[in-house]
Amino acid sequence: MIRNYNIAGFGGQGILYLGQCLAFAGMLSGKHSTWIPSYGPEMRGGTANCMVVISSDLIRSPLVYSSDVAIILNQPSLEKYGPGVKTGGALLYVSELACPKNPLNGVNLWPIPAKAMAEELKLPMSMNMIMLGALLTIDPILSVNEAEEAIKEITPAHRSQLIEMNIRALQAGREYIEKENLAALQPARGRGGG
Amino acid sequence: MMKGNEAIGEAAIRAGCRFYFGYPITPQNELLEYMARKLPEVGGCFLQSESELAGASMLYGAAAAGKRVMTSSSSPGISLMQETVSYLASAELPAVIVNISRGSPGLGRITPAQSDYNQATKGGGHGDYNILVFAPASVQEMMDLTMLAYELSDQYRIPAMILGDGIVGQMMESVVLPEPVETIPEKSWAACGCQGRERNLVISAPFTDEDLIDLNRRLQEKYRVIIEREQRAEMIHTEDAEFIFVAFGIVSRLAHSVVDSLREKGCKVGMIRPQTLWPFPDDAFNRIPRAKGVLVVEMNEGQMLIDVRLALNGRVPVRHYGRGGGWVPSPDSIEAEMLKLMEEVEKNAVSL
Amino acid sequence: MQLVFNKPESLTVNPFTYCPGCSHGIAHRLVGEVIDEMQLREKIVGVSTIGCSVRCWRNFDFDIVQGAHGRGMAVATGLKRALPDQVIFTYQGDGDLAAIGMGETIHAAVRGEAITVVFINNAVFGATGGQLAPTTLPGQWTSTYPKGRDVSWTGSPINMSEILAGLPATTYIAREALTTPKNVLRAKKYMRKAFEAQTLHGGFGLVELLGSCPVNLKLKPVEALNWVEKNMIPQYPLGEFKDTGKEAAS
Repeated sequence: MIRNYNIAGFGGQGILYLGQCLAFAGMLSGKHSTWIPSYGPEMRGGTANCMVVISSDLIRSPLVYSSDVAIILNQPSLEKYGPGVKTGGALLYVSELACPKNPLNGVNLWPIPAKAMAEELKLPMSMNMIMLGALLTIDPILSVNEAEEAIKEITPAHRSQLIEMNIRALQAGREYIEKENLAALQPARGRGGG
Repeated sequence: MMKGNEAIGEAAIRAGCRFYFGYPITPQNELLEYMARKLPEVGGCFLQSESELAGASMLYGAAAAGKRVMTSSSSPGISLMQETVSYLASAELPAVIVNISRGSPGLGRITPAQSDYNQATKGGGHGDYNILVFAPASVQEMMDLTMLAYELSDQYRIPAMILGDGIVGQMMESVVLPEPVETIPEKSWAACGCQGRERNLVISAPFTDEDLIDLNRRLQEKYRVIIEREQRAEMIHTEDAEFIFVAFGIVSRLAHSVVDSLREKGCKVGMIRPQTLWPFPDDAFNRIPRAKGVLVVEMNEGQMLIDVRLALNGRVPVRHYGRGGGWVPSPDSIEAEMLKLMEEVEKNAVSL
Repeated sequence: MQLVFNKPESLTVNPFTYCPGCSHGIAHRLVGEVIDEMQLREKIVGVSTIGCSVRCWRNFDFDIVQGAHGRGMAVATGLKRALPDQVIFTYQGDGDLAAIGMGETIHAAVRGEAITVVFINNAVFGATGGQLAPTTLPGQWTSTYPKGRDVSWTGSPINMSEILAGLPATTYIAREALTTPKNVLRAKKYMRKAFEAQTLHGGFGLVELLGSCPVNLKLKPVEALNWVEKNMIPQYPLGEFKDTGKEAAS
């Protein structure tokens, strides 16, 4: 089992934190995981992205060239990373902030209204966790519980009030997918993608 | 999970390092900041210096006092530190220097690169000297090789460098924390006040011409012992491999994924992954009995290439795939280069 | 027989290898006497730097670390941070301290490192053969400016003691000339206070000693001393510029 993830959006959306939660959850589940942030000039340019790999075997390349899953929180990132999703892979994106302009053949598209959901939760900064909850429900190689543990582990002590909020958002993402009866990646094959 | 840069700091503290001096530069600031947070907690000293020149000299001072010390920087800052590295080598002081290198020359950019290979492995400053150079390829190795660097640096009284790149420095990966070192070897040579003994001198300027020639002879003797005993390399499928990658640091992981995929296709490929760049693992190249071709992949314009050629001494054709300036090869392109080499060899169209 | 004169315990039996009339010999002896009198020999680490005095460990009989050119106070910083209970001092010339080492000097003083600095100012690069120093006087002959220092081209001499005294973290700064027995005795007093700035007050102490370099001034030893008196002292006035230890005590 191996999953390569590209996670991208604007700086301030919690992109790197999302990736860290995912990678930590991978580690907590007994798998190998790596996380690499965008660093360099891009750090100052307003966009943020990170690469995560989770694998049951030792990870060779921590760099993600083509992804099994892309989690996208804005339009420029969708244009950059959408075409890099493998055939049969999944593209999760915040439906209010991004929209595929060109057809992505063989890719499962998962538009998630995370912006509205975050506003409903009165947690406008929680789109990242909603997307993570959705991801782990669509592709349950890790459990949402493991992600909760990861959140507890990596949130710094002085920001511990965020733990509960993040877990709520994570659950909201899970419930959205379950409610929409969109469970599991496999049955969804053929959805979207044009 | 830890970031590579932080893993170095944690390993240093576990190895008994209590003195860090350094100057900020991307992409290694996490290490500087980690030491700033953690060293005071263990009664250590973190001091941000006014320059890499001063930071390296502070390191030299604390090393002369017999302490385990660290400084870190990235390529342009490491160039400034070379003044002190030469002095450390001459005064035979142990110290660990970290270079999370970047695209160069000049200021360059903070993109990952391996263009400081020659500087690190051929001395770097003035004079006939070498330092230990370690090339971690994972966050775990950032820790393990840092621990080893302190041990060997003390044992041989020689400076050691951890040569990483921005990717290994910035990435997070799960690690097993090494056991803290309980006792640090006694340093009878340290300059710390001469109470109850003859005075100690930590100097790099012998008094006579003969003394300096003697020092050089002694250093070379030490280097010979190190070359004999301390070469380290990971050998991947080399027993039966006909085509062999040579790569270090992050590139070795990309090449390793290519080894996997070519093996699946039935190609007999393998890899030599140097973990020490000085001493260069020459001996590893005597253990590739079936090699027909070697491909050196590195993020520079052909620096380790020369050491590989020397190690093989014309026995096997060697090709290079690499660029400087912050370029990272994709596994696909690495595979294509290897297939090209394989084809050339099969057609007998390859020269050394 | 009564012993009337002896070498300080902190000096070795090696003869000085400096040129005839050079002030380093006097300065070395003062260092040896002060360290003996303060009983610091076994807990001191000296830092030698590049210039004529690079091999001062030939004459100083205690632990010495030799640093790179200009980095004396950075090396001393590393030593002091590693050995807070020991006494650390640097012995530096004007090229070392005020030219190539200006950054290290200023920042060690800015931090108020608890170290002592013995600064020999002879207005010229001695070891390399008489080139311009930052402390060279206007009009003074040097091998790199044979027509004399033209301040419009090379700038003016720099008064390090005054500059360092102006920094808030320094504790003791004084200047004396090694020209007459009276001045030498006062220099020793200042040097002791520069060490006490460290040992009693945990602060940065510096004594600047105006010395002569007859060989590079192309003067006889006595003429060179007269030259220091006549030309250097007007540019570099003598006295104590700062003594916060005294202020704290009073």
